[in-house]
Amino acid sequence: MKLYSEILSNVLKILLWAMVGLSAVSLVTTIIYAIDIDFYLDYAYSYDGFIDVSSSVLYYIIIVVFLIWIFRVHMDLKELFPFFTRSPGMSLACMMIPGFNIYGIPSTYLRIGDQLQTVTATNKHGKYISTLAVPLIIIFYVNNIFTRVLLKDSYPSDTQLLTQNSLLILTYVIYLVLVIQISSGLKIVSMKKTTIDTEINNLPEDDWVSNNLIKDTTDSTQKA
Amino acid sequence: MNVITTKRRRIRPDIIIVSLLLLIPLGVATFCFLPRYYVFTAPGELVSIQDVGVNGSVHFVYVYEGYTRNLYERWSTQRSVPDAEFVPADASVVAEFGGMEEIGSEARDDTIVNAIISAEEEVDLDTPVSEDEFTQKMDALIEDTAEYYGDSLGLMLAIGLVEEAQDVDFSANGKYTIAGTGTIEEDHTVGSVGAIRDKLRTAEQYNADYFFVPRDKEHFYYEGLSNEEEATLVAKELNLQLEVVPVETMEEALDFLRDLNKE
Repeated sequence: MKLYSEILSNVLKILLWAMVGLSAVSLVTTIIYAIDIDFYLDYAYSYDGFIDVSSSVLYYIIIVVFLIWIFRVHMDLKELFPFFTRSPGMSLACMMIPGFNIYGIPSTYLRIGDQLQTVTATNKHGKYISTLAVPLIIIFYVNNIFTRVLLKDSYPSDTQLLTQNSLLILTYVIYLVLVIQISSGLKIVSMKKTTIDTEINNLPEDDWVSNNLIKDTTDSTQKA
Repeated sequence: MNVITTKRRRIRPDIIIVSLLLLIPLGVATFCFLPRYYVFTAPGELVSIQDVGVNGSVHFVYVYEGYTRNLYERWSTQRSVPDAEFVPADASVVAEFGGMEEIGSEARDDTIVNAIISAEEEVDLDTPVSEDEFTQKMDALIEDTAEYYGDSLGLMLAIGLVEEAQDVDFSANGKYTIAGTGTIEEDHTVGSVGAIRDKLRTAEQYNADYFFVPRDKEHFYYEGLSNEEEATLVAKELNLQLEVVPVETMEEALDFLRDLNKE
């Protein structure tokens, strides 16, 4: 079965890797700033500015790609697990509605994680996703509040800048891990489904007993 | 028969999408860093003459002046100095500002010397100041004013030194906030300076009551409006509450302040 989210998963992974890389370089320039401001102004200021602009634009691109991706992931989940409780539209609402997303974001990942844990092959992926759901929302909000405070301060301290940079990297890394785990989890489930479907299709049509036996096994794997 | 099969390499769609998407931030960042020069000025602060070690009550004004080399620098300057006003310029501003800093420091030291001499001549001490005392005072003032460049603090420094030497308080114990700008020359005349508009904006922001400017309408050697004309125009345009006081010499400014305190 071809996944709806497959291409976007790869796109999002690369974009998030780029973002993590840019944030890491930004952290290095902030460390230089904290150690020697003159050296920073002479050699790192322009690079830092370039990274600042690039990552700001990339951030908004990632948000758009992410929203389309999460929608498609839920389309896949509905296809692979017909009884999956969250619709693609609802998943978007959970991500986008301010205030509601305090519940929406972690619950989306918890549901995906729980669902993947029901399949033996993706049990580990599911556990990873469920474990990261709560830390993600905490760091997401702490980082948001911290950034707002920092923007109001014309001359933030070195410690504030370093903390903000570290929180930012941590947020992107968590998102990256989630995207990797969800996409590979979905891939495994879809491959499994394709294999089973092929086996069913290859069975002789008159073998009533084997046909029904495999169908039963398939169902129980999915519902387990 | 030999059959040659060629395998066409297919470019993955996700790679194409990522490449195109990554071009957007790279393009925007490159655009923001293209050479595009601006000169900016912005209101600064009203500085008490006491902050440079003189026991007086008057104030001088400093403003922010500088240049940016691209849109990113302009944006980050605007963020840290929200009142900054930008004017497009060309690459020559880099050299101009480099030279201005050096010239500005020299001009500041000259005006400090003139301020000390003018104040001493005004006070007319019974025992003249020794060369050592003069040098000591000059060095101390140069050190205390090191963070400012330019000679526009001259007049207010001279007034402050007169207050210190005569032990008077022209502010009437804080009743008036007196500020001003202008160089002081060897003959006690007040010379023209730049950034009058922003200096007036700064003084207004800090609730100054009186603001001295050079009375230079008759002998303004540069292009454009004289300090006196510009100050009158800006005060009218911005409906400033402070009173602009044009003065030609230090004595004129001192007479104004003495009259003010007689009222």
